[in-house]
Amino acid sequence: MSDNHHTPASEETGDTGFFEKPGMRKILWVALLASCAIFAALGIYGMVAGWMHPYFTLDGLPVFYALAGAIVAAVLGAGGRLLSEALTKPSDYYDSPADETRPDDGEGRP
Amino acid sequence: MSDLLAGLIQNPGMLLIVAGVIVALLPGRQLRAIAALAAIIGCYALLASYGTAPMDAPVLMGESTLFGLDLVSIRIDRLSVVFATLFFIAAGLNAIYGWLHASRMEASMGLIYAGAAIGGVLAGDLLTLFIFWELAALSSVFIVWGGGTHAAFKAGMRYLVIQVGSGMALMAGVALTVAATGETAFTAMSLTAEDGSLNIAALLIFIGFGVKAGFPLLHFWLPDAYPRASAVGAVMLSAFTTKMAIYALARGFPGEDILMLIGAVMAVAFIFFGAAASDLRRVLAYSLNSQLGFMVCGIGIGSELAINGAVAHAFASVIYKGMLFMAMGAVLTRAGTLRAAHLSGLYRAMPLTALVAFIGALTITGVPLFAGFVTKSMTISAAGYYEHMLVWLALIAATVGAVNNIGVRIFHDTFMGARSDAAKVSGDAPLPMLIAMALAAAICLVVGIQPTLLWSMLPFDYDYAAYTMDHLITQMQLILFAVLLFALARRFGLAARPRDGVLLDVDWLYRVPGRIALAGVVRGTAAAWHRLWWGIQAGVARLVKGLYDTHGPEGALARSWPVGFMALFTAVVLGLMLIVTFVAY
Amino acid sequence: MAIPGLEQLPVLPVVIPLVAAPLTLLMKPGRAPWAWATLVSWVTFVVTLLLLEAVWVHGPVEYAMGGWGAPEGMSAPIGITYYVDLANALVLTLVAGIASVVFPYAYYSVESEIDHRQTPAFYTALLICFTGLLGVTITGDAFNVFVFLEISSLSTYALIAMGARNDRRALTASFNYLVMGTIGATFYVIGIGLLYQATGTLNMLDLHQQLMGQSNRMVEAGFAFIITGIGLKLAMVPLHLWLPNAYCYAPSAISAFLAATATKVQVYIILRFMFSVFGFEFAFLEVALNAFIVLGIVGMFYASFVAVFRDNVKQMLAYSSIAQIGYMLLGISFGTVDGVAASLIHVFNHALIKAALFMGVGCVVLRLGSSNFAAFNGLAKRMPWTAWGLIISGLSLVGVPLTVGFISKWKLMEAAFQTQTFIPPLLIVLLIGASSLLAAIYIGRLAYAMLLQPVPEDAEPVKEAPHLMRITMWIMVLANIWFFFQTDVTVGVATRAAQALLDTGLGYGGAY
Repeated sequence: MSDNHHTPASEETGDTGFFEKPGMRKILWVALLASCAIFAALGIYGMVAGWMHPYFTLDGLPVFYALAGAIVAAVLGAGGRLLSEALTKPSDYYDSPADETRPDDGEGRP
Repeated sequence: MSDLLAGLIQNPGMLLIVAGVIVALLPGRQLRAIAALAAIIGCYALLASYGTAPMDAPVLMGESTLFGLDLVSIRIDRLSVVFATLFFIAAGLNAIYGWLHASRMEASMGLIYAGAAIGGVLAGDLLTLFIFWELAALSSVFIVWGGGTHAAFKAGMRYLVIQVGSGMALMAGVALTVAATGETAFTAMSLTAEDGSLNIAALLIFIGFGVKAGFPLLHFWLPDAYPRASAVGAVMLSAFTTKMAIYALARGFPGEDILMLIGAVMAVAFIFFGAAASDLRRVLAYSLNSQLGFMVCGIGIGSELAINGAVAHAFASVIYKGMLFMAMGAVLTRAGTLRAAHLSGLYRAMPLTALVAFIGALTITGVPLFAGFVTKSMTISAAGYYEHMLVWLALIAATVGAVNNIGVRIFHDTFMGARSDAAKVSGDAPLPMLIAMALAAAICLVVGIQPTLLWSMLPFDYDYAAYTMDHLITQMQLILFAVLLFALARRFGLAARPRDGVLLDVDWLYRVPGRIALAGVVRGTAAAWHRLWWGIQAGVARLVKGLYDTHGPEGALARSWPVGFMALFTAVVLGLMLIVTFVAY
Repeated sequence: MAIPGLEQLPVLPVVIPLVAAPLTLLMKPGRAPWAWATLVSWVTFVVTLLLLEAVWVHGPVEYAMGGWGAPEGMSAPIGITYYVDLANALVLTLVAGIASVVFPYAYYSVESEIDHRQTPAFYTALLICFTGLLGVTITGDAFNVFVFLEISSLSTYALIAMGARNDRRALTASFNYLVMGTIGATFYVIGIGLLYQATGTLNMLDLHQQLMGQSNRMVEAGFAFIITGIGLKLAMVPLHLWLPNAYCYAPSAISAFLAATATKVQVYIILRFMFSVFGFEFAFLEVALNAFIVLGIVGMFYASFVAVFRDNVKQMLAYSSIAQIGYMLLGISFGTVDGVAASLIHVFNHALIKAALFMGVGCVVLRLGSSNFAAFNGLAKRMPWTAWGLIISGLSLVGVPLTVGFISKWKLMEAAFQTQTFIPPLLIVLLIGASSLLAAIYIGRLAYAMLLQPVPEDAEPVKEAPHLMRITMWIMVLANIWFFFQTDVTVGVATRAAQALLDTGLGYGGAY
């Protein structure tokens, strides 16, 4: 049931924004990968050179934070997905659609 | 009489409440907004004139008595002043944000609500705290109702019950404290009495605070009510209630060990709910709840650094979370929906709002140069220094959660990507909204770049260096690799948005089986009652009939009780009374 | 003890309205009877205030009617005596105070709800009812209580029935109340009869002396009859069924007056009999106190639940009254000074709350002709003064700080923590809290309707209620706030009054 989300169907119609252009996307990817690599390298260097001060033995591992970030992100992605599958009900589960609409109160709300 | 009133009137929060009443009477949105802003500035000037005082030597003002109990309307020390200042900033931003869009109700109740929160943090004793605690609950429910839909009415009712319930727990705890000690002072308490037994009074107060602080299982009102409010209302709601509870916990239960566990669970559990929710303001609500976990952890650790961290994080959290709610409110105002499934690529129509959301994401995830980095580091460091490894891990996980919930869900999925139909909106956020968001973003940056400005306001003097190579590298590693993983998952089609619909939470327990059970009990009792009554009536029909005949206009009687029944019932009660008398003695 | 310079003062609160009532009947319909009744209520109020002050300063006052006091060598007086201590001085002041605000309020409401020609009769009945309530409170003679009880009840039946012009159901409501009220009064008089047989006296103080140490079947049966009889008049659950319709269909001003005074007077009688007449030596008192705990708690919840689901605001408030009586019974049931004081405080505060609420509803009935929830939609836009008055007094009902409701609830909780009953104090406190959540729900529902519901589209424009009604209503609303700050009158007097009652009950005599 993962195809609930509307894949916005506009790339064929030429309605492409600045950040969606292929060249821009490539630049963003390179920037992300490069900064990941730099900070991982800095972390390893700092640990070897001895000016990093870990709190525990666990984060004495030079790339501990990188691993933690990736692992938690993976667990969270999967967990969130499972939770969504298990606990999401149709939007009229508690309230009927009529309950969600606002009666015009004449206050001139936008 | 007069000294109690005079004491209360010295409290800037109380003055703001009075101003809220006056604002309700003014015509025109602009005039109300100007009056509200003037009142906020005026009341802040009053607070500023009181100055500040160190934690161990608070300045007490407005002392009075209420039937023999000592009340202290104002306690000025660094903890109360920093929260009061924060609430004034939030109230000011709210007033600007709602310049064109706040209804009369929201403008005035928003001011009263802010005033109640300010009064609460300045209150020097438990009774005064309770007064403002209750006023905050009652004024904020109108803001939930301001959403205008029937769903908002129902959510508001649920919100009202749980908020007043929190007040009742607090009141019961205070009454017990007074009955036991005769003291009303609001100072640090402990859940365990000196002989090791449970301190019931403190526990009741703790539960009262916990409801408003969104403790797990007591949190369900928060994601239920906040997304129902109007664009303006949700911003107001996000600032005060929960942070007032954080203040109360920091004042009442610093170093209470159980808070570390509660905070860790909060920080971790709610990021999963945030990842699964489909309404964007509900995502924000869960994310807010997870951030509250940071503060609760800090209070639980209880060291000077940790308390400072909790307070600083509360400060930053009000600003950036308010900013994110503002951005979502702007989206709601323009696009008319906040269902994640319908929104993407909004940056092209609303570039400035997108920028604000981006700054919000950078702040909450803790990217250096933004407020979140300096405030989060304090709590994480405190957890590290005091060797609370589980807490420390939970806080790291919560940071990654913020990357997903805010960075990916709120910023990337909503504003970036190909443009959806709902995202083809008429323009960027209205000007006052933009101004408020810009001011909030500026505060995030200023605190991030110049943290000593905030640290000079914190409760304790603690020399803490946030910008060390260690922090920079570890924090960036954490964020960048999390982003990398989410990006890779998107790239290879492993991640999809959560399903569209309502996400069930523990409130399901009372909204579905609870309601069915209650209806069943009511129906069952009514049925049993009728059977009993008709049984009795059949037996004494002749007797009752005599009275029935004298019975006046018929027809409209359907719901009233026949007099014969009442007479019979009285006889039964008397009989019981007599039997008990004779049997008992 | 007599009051120096004001020897006749204790008799005046009864005599003034009693003499004034028949005169009202002779007046021309319209303004005159109303003005006269108002004047009488004000004079009476001043007298009761003087009396309260005198009792506060000089201690309890005894007044022998016609000088028929106790002859030499006899302990009991021959005739009827009036006996005023702080407990009944407080209730007297309350009744007269409420009357002095509700009577002026009544004018427009009565003009629209009662046949014009009947107004003299209406105000006559109102004054008689007023006399009865004051008499019940002031007298120190058990049989005299019955007489005044009947005086007030009979006039009340007539007053409720006058609501029939608006809604014929008032007749049935009045009839139901008549039957039930008569049964209650009969039970009471049977109880008095039994006590008379056991002791040979009707004077309350003397009864107390005679009953000391007596605990036989006859006295116990008398006690049961009296408590059941008064419980019925008090609308104690489960004897409350007459009340909702009586309050709902009565003319608005009568609802306000009765809700604020009638049941309060009955609470006072219960207190008087339990502690001043029977006392703790009487073993059965303990059973009754335990019964009150259960009945009080059941009433708090049952009636509040019903109130949540009512579609008529008057009926909702009537059920809320039954729930509030539960609080008062709970306070009595603790059997401590704090508990009885809390009960008396709530008697006072609840009178202010309910008077303001029913007066607000009366304004709505006057302008919109209905007290159904639908009439309240968007009321804050149509009648802002009335709507905000209702909201503030509603908050007071919930027990929000800065209103008197908070004082009541706080005192009750504080008292609950210091008691030893078969229910743990903590549970009682939590139940009090839980039941005020129910109050928050039904008041929240009303507030939502008034503030956030749109005005019906086809609604005709309405004016605010007349100034007179608005001002009198707001006097009550402001009293709800004033007495939060000014607790000397309520907490101070009630605590001393409770002390006196319990001292008598414990057999210390009056150490006021």
